[in-house]
Amino acid sequence: MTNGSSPLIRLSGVTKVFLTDEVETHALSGIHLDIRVGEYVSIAGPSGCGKTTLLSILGLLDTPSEGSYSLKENEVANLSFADRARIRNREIGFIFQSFNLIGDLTVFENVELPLTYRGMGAGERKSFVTEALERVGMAHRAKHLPSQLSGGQQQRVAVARALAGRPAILLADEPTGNLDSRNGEAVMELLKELHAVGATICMVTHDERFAQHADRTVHLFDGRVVEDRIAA
Amino acid sequence: MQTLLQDLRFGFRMLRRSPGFTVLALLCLTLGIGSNAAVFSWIEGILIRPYPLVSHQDRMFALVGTTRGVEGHNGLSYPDFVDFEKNATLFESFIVDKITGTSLSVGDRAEIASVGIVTANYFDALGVRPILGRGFRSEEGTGRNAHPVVVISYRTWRDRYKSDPEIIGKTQYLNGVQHTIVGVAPEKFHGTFIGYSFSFWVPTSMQETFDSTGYKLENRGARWIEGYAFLKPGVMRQQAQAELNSIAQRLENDFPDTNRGHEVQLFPLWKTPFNGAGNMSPTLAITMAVVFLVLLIACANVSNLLLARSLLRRHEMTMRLALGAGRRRLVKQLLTEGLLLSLIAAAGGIAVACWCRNALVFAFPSPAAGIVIDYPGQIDWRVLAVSAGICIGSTLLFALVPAIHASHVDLSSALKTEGGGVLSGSSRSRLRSALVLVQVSLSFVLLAGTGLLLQSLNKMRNASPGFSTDVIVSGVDLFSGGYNLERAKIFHTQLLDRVRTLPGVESAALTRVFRPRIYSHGR
Repeated sequence: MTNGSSPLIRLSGVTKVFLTDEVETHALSGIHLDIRVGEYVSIAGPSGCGKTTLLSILGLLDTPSEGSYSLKENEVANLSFADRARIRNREIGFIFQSFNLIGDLTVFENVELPLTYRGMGAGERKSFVTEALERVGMAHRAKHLPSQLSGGQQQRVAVARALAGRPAILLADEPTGNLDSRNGEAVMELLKELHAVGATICMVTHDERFAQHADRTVHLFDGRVVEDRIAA
Repeated sequence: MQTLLQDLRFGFRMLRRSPGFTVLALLCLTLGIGSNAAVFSWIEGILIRPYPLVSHQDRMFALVGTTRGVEGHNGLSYPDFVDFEKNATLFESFIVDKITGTSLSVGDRAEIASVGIVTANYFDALGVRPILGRGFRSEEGTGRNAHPVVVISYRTWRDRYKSDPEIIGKTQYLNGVQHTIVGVAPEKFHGTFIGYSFSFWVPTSMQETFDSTGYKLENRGARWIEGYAFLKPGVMRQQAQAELNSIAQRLENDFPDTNRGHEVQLFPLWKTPFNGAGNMSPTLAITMAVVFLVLLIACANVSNLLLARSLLRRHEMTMRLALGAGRRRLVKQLLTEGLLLSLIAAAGGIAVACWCRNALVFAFPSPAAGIVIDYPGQIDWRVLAVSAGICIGSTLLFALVPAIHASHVDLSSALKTEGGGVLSGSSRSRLRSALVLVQVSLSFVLLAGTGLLLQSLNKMRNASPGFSTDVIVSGVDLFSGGYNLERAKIFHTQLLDRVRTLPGVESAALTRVFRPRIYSHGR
C-alpha cells in the first residue's frame, strides 16, 4: 500500500520504441521517474520529445517496450487490456487537450460515464457526479449537452469527469491547449485549487508559463529526462 | 439491468440523432425480419397448426390409404373405415372429410361451392362447436340419403344468408336435394382441407347425393375416403401405425378380393398427401430459404452501415475505452444498440407479417366463383418466438463484427491523432470488401432461389390432373337444373356426340372430379 515514503508512481528504465515500415523510433529511452502522493508535476519539453507518449504510459493507455512501471507498488507495465482498463477507471483521471467529451451525452452523463464502468449504484453515482460538478462550478449546467457550452466550460466538465471517480492521480495532457488565455488561466487555477486540497497531478505542457504552476517540472528532450526541478 | 437501460437510452438517442441511418437500417431489417416472420406464419398456419380451432392438433394425423408396392396413395372404403374405427384401441376418434363440389341453387341460377362429406362425429371430434345450431347427430351419418342436413360455414352464413339469426331450420338446395341447415360453424373454422375453405358440410349418409359415381357406403372396394385420426394421449405414431397395420392385415385376410395389398398409413398433418399440404411443403421450404437469404443480405447491408457509422463514432469509442470501459462492455453496448434496431424492425416485421399473412392466396387464384382458396398465415406465440430468435440472430449477424472492430482501438495513437486510428484503413477496407463480397454472393444465390421458387409456384398452379390440360375445359352441372342421374347421363352422351363433331375438336371426354386445381367437368 502507498505510504509517505514510497512513491505513488515509479517508472524504472522505461523505453518505448515504435516500429513503422521497418523504421525504429525511440520515443522514450530509459526513463526513471517517481511521483509521490500529493505532488503536482509538470512534464515539459519541445514538440516530439515524448511527453504525450510518457503520459500515455503513465495513464495505461500504452505499454512500455522495456522497463517497469509500478502504481501504488503494483507492477502494471504488462497487464492485460481488461486489467489496464479497470485500473484506468479506478486510479487515473484524464484531462485532455481537446476535452474529449461525448457529444451525445449530457454534462451529467459525461461525468457519470467512468463511474458506470465501475459498476457503482445510481444513488452513489449521483452524489459523486454532483460533488465533482460543484467543485468545478458546473452543477448548474448538468443537463446541457457539451455543444451548448463554451470551451472553458467544456474543459471544466472534463476536469469534473476526471475528478468524479476520486482517482489516485490526475493526468492532464495540454489542458489549456485549446483554450484562450483567460479560460486557460481559469483551468490552471482550478488545477491549483485541486492540488491544494490534496490531488496528485501530472500535467504535460509545452507552455513554460503553465509549467510554472506545478511544484516540480520534469524536462524531456529526445525521449530522455534532461532536468527534474523542484520549484523554489 | 441499470447498464442495459442506460445503453438502451443512449441507443434511442443515437437513432434519433441520425435519422437517415436509422430509416435505412430499419427498412432493411424490417424487410428481412418481416419476410421471415410472414413465411413462418404461413408455415405455422398451413403446415404446423393448420386448424386453429381444432383441439389437440398434435395428436391429429392424416389417414391415407396405400397399396403395397405401389407409389402414391388412394382412399379408404367406408366399410374399411368403420372397421378401423371399431377395432382400433389406441385412437380417440376417426373422422372422414372428403372434399367435393356442389351445385347450389340460387334463384334460377346455379353456383359452385365446396362441400365436405364428413362423419357425424366430425365437429365433436375436432372440438369445434357451431356458433348457431348444432353439429351432426350420430344417427345422421348412416342411412342412404336419409339425412339431408347441412352445417354451413360462417362466411356462407354471413355472405349468402346475410348473417340471418333465424337461419337454423331453413333449407337450401344442394345438388338438387333440399337440405335443412342445422348449424353454423365458427368464423375461424374453414374445414380440414388445406388450401380450400369449405362452404358446407354434409354427413356421410348423403354421399350418393354428392357423388355421381354412385352409392359407396357399403362397397368395400370403393376407396374414396380421406380422413383423419386422433391418437389417445401418450400414444406414439409408431404404436398407432402398428395397430392399424394389424387391423389392415386382418381385413386383408377376411376380404382378400377387395383388400389384397391395401394398407393404411398415418401422416403428420404437414405431409398430408391428399390436400394442399403435400404441395405446399417444398414451396414453403424454398420460400423460407429465399427470405432467409433476403435477411442475410439485409444484415450485410446494415452491418456495412454500422461500419460506416463506427467511423463517425470512433472518437466516442476511444474515449469510452480510455475512461475504463472494457472491450466486452463496449461490445455489449454496441450489441444493445443493434438489438434496439432489430427490436424496432421486428415490431415492424410482425406488422408486415400480419398484413401479408393471407397474401399467399394471390398466388393461387380461385378456380371458380364460389370456391374459396384458403392458405391462412397464423401469427401466434411460436411465430413471435421465432421472430424474436431471428431478431437476436440478426443482431449478432449485423452488429457483432462492427462492434468487435470498434472495440479494438490503439488507444494511444487514437487519442494522439484525435479521431484517427480506430481501425487501420486497410483493415476497414478489407472488412467492407468482404461484406460487399458476401452481399454479391448472396444476391446470386437469392436470384437462383427466386427462380426455383417461381418455378415451384408455377408447377403448383399448373399441377397436372393426370391428363393434358391443353384443352378447353367447360363446367356443366345438371343436378341443380333438376336432372336425375339417368337424364344427366343421356344429356352428357348427347353433348359429347355434338362436341366431337365440331370442327377442330380432336377428342372429347367427360369427368366429374373435384380436386384442388383439377376441378373440371369435361374437355
